[in-house]
Amino acid sequence: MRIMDIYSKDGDETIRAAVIGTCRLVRPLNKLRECNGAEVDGVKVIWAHSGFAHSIHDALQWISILNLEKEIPTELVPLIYGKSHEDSIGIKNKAEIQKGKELVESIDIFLIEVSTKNRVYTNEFDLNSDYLTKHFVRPGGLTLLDWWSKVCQGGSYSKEELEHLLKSVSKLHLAFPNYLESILSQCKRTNETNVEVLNAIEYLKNQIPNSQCIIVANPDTSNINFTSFLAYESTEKESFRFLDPNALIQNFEPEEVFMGEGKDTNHYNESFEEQMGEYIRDFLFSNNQCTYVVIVSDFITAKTIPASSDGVILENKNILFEPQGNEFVTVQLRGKTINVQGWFKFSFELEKGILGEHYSPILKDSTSKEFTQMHETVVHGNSFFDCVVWLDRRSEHFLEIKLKLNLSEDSKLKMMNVQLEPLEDSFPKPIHSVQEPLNRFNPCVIPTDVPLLEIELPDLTRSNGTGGITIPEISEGDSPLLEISLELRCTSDEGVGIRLFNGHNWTAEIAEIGTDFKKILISEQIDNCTQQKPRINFINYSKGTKIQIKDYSIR
Amino acid sequence: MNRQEIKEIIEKAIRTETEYEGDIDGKMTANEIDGWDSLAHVRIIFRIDHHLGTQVDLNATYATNTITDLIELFVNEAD
Repeated sequence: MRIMDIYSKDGDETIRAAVIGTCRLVRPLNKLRECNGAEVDGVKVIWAHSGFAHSIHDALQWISILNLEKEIPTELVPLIYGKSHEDSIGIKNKAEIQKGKELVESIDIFLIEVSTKNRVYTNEFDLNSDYLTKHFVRPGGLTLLDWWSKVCQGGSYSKEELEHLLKSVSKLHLAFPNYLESILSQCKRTNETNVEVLNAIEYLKNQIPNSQCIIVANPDTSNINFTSFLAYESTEKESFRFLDPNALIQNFEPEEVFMGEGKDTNHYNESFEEQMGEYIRDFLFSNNQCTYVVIVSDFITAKTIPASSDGVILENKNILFEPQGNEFVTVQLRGKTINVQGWFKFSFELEKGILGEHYSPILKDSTSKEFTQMHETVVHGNSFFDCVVWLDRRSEHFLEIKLKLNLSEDSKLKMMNVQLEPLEDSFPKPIHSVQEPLNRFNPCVIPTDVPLLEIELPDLTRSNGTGGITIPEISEGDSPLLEISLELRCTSDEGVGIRLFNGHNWTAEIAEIGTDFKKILISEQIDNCTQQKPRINFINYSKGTKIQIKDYSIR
Repeated sequence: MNRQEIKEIIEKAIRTETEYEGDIDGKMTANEIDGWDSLAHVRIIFRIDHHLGTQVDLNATYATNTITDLIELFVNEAD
């Protein structure tokens, strides 16, 4: 843990930062001291104490220690600060902490790396897992390794087993005579949920009301769901800022960034540390709330329903298969991680004439019940199909495309340039529709200053008029009081009427909208909701009318 | 101890610490084995060290990619 004065590049400004994390945070900042050509030192370490932090609870404990609310007993110092008993601790350590306490009020920013959701703790103390294994488990040999494995795997010891364990470990004469029993009996390892870590961050923020808080992510991409969750929460709530080192790392090859020829993702190369230090400094002095890398993995497998006897080839975003004489074919695509939620554009290209006439492909996200009609654009004789779809964060995604083929064409079918891309700065909320047999949901994202979501209303000559925007998260039997706020306009001078289906009946027309934006508030008590879910329904409009939604919320 | 014996010790340590019951292939990485997180990694290395009488540098183990790489590291260490 460090308290550092960090200087802006021109040396005119200073930020005093408490730096709590691992070598991935401290070493790059230390490197700023050695920046070539800098007119002044990049950083000045005001106060330093041995020991690093992995979890948000390690960081919280550091703040308690600094505030003199918690004192680490001498015997546990090696498991929290990493110092061995041979180092001079005790009185010297207390004096160091007191000096740190005197600096707390002057700290502008707490810069905290949360590198794990694992927490290792006893009833009173959070223990550093690296120090615990080094100073306690390893010297204890197989007996303590078996104990530690059981703790990590969530196992527990009976009273008799614990007494037996204590007796055997006591014979090892480890350096923890007074705390041996409490470590062995109380030590737990938990893997916290994203929300539990977020709650701990919010708690930490309350402990430092006069300072900013910046959370720094672990660059290991296996933490992708956790990282994207924190990035989202940081952007939404703005109670803490968030820095994902991958926003810089993505511009380099792994061997340039990490030790062990790019394989040791726990440690940056010394040559990269300076660049990371500069990157962290730039973020500190900026007004950026959050830096973050959007990851949408390419599709990795494809199959068809009914199955193609020769299989399906997926290569360079192209899909090749033999339809086997079936008029309707569903192509199922599987991709890995999506670490953002929002509207995505899905598109592909076909040679003209491959599909049956007057037919547009339909897209379905496998986790939703909704079918989305794709738009067709013909360019140089080829058909380009695209649509937008709302997707949330997930470690694996499946999309299905239903095609109606023109069977008189060649037997092989090639879908080209199959792509899924996130739409930046698009309408920020999901909107889903109630499907009708002859009308598909057909949204369109309009990227204006305030992004809009445009929906073409169903053709009433083909529709039974019962569709609309579904109200999410209401189950059969629920009786919520719905408060809906909707700001929208339509594209037709003839206007559009709005009513609500409350799970039993249609209300009368609640409001009418025209071509100017209008805010509509709907309050309706839902009584024992049926299988027919509540929805916002549109009436009294002419063919081809579209609505454009500016804002939408439901409580 | 020969390479095959070392390989068996390593596979056993991985299974003990991760409770993984599927097939283990030399080309696999830690990410492909359920339960192999940072804490399990340290325990796996300690357990192998204990059985082989070695004491490898943990940082060197982080720089291994596949299980075969890990086996090679311990084969060299046990020489």
